[in-house]
Amino acid sequence: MVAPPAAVDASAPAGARASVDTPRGRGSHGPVALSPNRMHRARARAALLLALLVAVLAGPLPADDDDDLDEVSIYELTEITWRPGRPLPEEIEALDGERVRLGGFVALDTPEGSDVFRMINDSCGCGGGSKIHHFVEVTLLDDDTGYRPGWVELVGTLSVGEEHEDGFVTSVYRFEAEYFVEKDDWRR
Amino acid sequence: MTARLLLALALLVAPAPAQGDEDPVERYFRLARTGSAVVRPQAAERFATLGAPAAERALAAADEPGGLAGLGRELVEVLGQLDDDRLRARLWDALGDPDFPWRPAATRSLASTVRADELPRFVDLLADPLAAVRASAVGAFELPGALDDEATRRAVGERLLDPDDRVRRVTADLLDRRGYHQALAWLLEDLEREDRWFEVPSGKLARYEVLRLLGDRLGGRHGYDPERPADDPANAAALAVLRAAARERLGGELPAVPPIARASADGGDEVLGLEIRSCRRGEHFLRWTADDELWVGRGNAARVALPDGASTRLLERALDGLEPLGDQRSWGEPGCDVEVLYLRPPGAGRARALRVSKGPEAVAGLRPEALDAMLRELLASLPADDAPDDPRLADLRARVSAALDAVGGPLAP
Repeated sequence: MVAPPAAVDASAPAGARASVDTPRGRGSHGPVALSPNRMHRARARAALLLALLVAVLAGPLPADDDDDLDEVSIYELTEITWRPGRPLPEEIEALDGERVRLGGFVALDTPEGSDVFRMINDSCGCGGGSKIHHFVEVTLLDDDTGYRPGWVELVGTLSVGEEHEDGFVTSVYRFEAEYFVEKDDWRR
Repeated sequence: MTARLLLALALLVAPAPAQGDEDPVERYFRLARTGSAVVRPQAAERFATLGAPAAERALAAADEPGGLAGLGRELVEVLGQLDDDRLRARLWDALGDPDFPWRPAATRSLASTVRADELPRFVDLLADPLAAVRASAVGAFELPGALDDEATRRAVGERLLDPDDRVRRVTADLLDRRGYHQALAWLLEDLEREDRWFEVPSGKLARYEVLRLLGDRLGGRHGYDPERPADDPANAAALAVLRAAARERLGGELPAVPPIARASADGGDEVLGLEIRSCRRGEHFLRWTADDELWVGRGNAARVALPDGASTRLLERALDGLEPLGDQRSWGEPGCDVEVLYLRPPGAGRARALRVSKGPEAVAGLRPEALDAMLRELLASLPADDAPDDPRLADLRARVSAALDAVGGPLAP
């Protein structure tokens, strides 16, 4: 029998008692016109790919420099109190457009081979994951998710602010990911 | 070519199907069941504002072969808001069925709209095998006057000893807001957590959650930054201010928290791990460390000494035994039943995770034989004591076995 904690002993307390219909992912969008946000993403993707091409032609990418990138905590993003239409905290707004490292989990319902997925802060989505500010919508610019059941890290650019589609908020955070930060997970 | 061009032009100029033509009840009901993962909760919330017609639609769907479960988690979560006695009865019936897949959502649905005469049923749910149900049930005691009864207050207070940190946190938050400020000690303790689950900074998540729960109750954060460790000088100073504010709010000294709730820095030594989340049989978090300890739970885990070399032997068996699986790391479909085996040999940058998952329906032959064999060995290493000192270890082997049965199916003998 567990003893009741002191906090609730019989003694009196201090103080008063006082496309919206289908899951997102490659192949799920159908022959519809791109929304302005998607067009923006497509343009950004094309620009980045072009920049990468130029960089590749010019010489080796300075990948080591990415170790010095600021890390944005998915907890900082997802543990805010937020309601649709309300402003985000200033420190979160300040991250808009920043190139950063971001770690988290690929949401369980991500179709294998998708280039868009929700990044969440726990392995099962038990802590939320379906509320709009509980995930980051990640677009992989040159990759697909493969199957990654554990913690993953990405380098890319974070966008902050509500996106809407068909009357619903579809994301607050978006991340255009250049690549997964790979680490060995298996050594004999 | 011309025909295709004309067709494309026709499609461009043709009016899109007007969403306004669809009855809102049907539209939001449909989207709450089959929309994308981000739309379903929003559609469900809107459905819940539509009153009696929405209640009738939900009842009709609940009478279909899939029953209430067929409505899906998002709709179940909002049915209580429809304030319909028949739906509440269906939700309570569903909660009595251990195989109902959306019990936490059903509990939240009822707790957020609790009626005074239902409080005794919520007291029962405080002892539910599923932590998510227990945590959701705590919310029912937000009802004014719900804690006036001493027995009820004691039952809620016992959740401060819950093996699950999320249950302890929501309980402490509720009690403090209801005037039982001793519970602040539990929240402040979490601000000192440094524990990890393999690469996952579980302690940091707890720190963030506590700050969100506290809000401005203690006068703000006072410079505390959850990104930095608790012993960071700025955080240590902030914690001192927060503790002083808590003492002032309480009007006395904060109590010491029990061992199960104490902050720890566990993590980093794990070589094997098993995470089981069964929506019917609860959650288990087990780790085998390089120095032959079994850790049970997250946060300040219960520890069991293993025979010398046990972890290394198990790890070697896993590395050899799982080799036939190649690069495949996942089996089944996404769902609320998940078992994940983690392997992190010394020197590995991160753990490799092998996952078996499924939805509400049982799936025969889901878990591959190699994984099955490994889980048998891990299960055999667990204590089978039915009356240990730490309640987290009680009947551990039997409980873990039942959870594995519920996810990947029974382990072969």
